[in-house]
Amino acid sequence: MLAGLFDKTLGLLEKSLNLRLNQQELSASNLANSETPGYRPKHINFQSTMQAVMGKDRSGVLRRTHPSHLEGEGSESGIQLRLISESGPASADRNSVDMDTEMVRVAENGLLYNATVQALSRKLAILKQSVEGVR
Amino acid sequence: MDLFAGMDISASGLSAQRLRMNLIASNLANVNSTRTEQGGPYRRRMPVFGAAGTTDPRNGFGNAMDRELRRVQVSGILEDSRPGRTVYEPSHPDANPAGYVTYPNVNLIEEMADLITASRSYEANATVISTFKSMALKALEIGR
Repeated sequence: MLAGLFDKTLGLLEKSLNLRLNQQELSASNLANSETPGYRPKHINFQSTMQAVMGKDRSGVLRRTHPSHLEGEGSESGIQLRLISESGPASADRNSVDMDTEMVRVAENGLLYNATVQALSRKLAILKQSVEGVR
Repeated sequence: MDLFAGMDISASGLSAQRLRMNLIASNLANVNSTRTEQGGPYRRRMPVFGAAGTTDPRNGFGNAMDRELRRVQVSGILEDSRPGRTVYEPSHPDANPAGYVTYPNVNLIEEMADLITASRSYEANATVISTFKSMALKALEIGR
């Protein structure tokens, strides 16, 4: 692998895209159950999960405890998703989904997904330019 | 989990809310029905929603994320057991010997409020589906 050229950025952007997608699925799940008695909405603690991915905080990362074990490189499954289960004011049926907050989250998350795709495209464009050279 | 799995969750929300709207339509249409196949006046019907996992519980291999996701499913349709309203109409064919007719226990205002909630939930789920769609389209642009 060409370290330096394909540095960490591509991998991080990929992880970030995956997390945004997961968050969108959780919002879909929260909104689909906006009237299910007893349902508690969940969302991803993006910052803390991303920090675990970047290795600043190794507590959520899969570690090898025995030399004969297979090595689990900070893969998706190795990173624990940090979920926040909301315990806001619940209605009489013990459901605490707030539709407005959730819709804002969907819009915001969708925008950030698009922004991440854009960043990824830029990164690839830079690589392409350095391959082709200036003509 | 992929983009389409997320859409499935929202789709379950859409169909649950649509079923609810159908039941509301049935309640409103039968607001004055005094005869049913089971005998007696029509009784108000309502859906019971439950959260269901998206992965097969028999295989434990779904990842941590998939296990957190919940579809919505209609666990059942209940008949409201509240008593119906009685009106004094001695000339009505379904009147009891004292001259009172029992009408369905459907409350118009309650049904209208439910209808608005159902249509708002429906819209929310539809919006999430269109966001998923735009995300998928955007992902196709990577590297273009």
